Amino acid sequence: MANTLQAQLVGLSQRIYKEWIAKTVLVQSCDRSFEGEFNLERNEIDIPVYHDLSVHKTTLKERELKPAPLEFMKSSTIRVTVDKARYSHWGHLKISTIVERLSQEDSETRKKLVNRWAREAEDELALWVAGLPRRQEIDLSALLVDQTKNPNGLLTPDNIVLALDILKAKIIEKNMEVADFRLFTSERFRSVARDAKILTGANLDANEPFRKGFVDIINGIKIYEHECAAITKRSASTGLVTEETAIWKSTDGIQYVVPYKNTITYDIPPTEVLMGAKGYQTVEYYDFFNLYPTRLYKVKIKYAAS
Amino acid sequence: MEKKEKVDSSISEYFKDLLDDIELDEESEEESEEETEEETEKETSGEGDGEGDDLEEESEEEKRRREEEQRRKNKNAEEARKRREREAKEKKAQEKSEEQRNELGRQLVDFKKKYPDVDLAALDNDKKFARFIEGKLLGKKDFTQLYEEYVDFVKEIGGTAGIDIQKEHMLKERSSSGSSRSSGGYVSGGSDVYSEQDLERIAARIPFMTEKEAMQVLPKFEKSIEFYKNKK
Repeated sequence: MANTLQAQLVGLSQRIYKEWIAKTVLVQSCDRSFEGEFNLERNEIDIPVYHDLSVHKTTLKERELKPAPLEFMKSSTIRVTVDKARYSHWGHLKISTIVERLSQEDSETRKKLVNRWAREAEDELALWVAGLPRRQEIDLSALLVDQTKNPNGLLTPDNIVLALDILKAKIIEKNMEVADFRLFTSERFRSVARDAKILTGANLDANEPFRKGFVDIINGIKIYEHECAAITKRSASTGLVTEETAIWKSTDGIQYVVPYKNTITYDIPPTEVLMGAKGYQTVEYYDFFNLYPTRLYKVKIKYAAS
Repeated sequence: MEKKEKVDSSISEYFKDLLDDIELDEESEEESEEETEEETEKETSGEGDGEGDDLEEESEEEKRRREEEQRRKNKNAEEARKRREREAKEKKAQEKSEEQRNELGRQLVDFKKKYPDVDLAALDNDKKFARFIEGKLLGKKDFTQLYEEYVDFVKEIGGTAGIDIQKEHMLKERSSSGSSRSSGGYVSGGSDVYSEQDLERIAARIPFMTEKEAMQVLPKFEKSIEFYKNKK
């Protein structure tokens, strides 16, 4: 094989992707499928869209049952333009050094890259959700207001079940399945649930406990804990979360695609390095989309300061 | 004298229908017939010139009888000569055909050494392959080169659909059992590591693969890289 090092770099990019995805909570919960090959010239890729089949009704009594017109799944994919990229430069000009540093099982360099990319991806996605329009917002801090007991609409052990009931009701009223949705919150939500003694650890599904961030199933809702400081506000004294934007979504609520991952070379001019050289960077093209606005919500929650 | 290597007759049975038919050259045969006729005429006319004085003595009937007899003799001699020529040509064609089959057999044996997993019977039944190699067999390129060219061609025009073209020709028992064999030379899709060509092709595709696709090829891909690194 003439260029095993180059081939190794290609494989490494896939490995890095696999590792950083596993460290995320939000990104991992998204639909990451795409079809076909990424068009590098037009930056386009096809992502699946999930149709709802129509139901035809008739009365058997009057024998009106007749063949319905054929329903072709005309557009099972949608073409999107990918607009984002993340990349890291390597401070080594020799491909053999880069491959050696990155391919070792316990490579510190790779670990650092993986952690950094996971963190960045989570924060970027969380901030994007926090910026969704008001029609995709459920403001629990307003809905939980009780003029006598809870004028600020804080989430407390007394009203946490009510809060979860509200979230479920918002889904049911739009004829969707609650089981498709998951709630992503900060660690403070877990504390409130613990204080309310409803954090049982029972009703576990066989797979969920092994997924990063999974907390429990409370009142029929799967709760996940994210680590995105960007969408939380903390008390200056205690450091506890006092306000947050939780995320209430289904898998297809966000379609997160990474259709191109590679480690590529580029020329470094002689002005930068004597005689010039080849530089290397690990790069990923990615983007995320919300094709079904009714399947993604941001949830405003307020907690007591202490 | 070139030493003729005998090859297994069973292996040379494949693709023999694609060999050029060797037939007797009818045109040359006709030409030779014409030549002999001319010669006969010359002979008969020559006899007439030399025996001009005796013709008066002999009766007309006697003369005709002798001429007839001479013509028959000539004809018999001519037929014998033609038969000998035909037999010689047939023998030559047979030898040539045998030589071609032996050459094809040798090429198939070489092919089998390089691609032990490929089923020749399956390849022989592949109509597309037959069309591809028609007129090229025993030409400038040997059978192995033609096969590799065919596989490349199908992959080029077929994209991802063409990747499994080699699998279609794999020996059934090997491809289904998935038995692992370490091999030194070319290693095809059914074995532990990818061939060098496949490895390069997959390396070019990996950046575009989905997680699922990548997970399917990566273990073997990494193993292949190790294999070729150690081979250096």
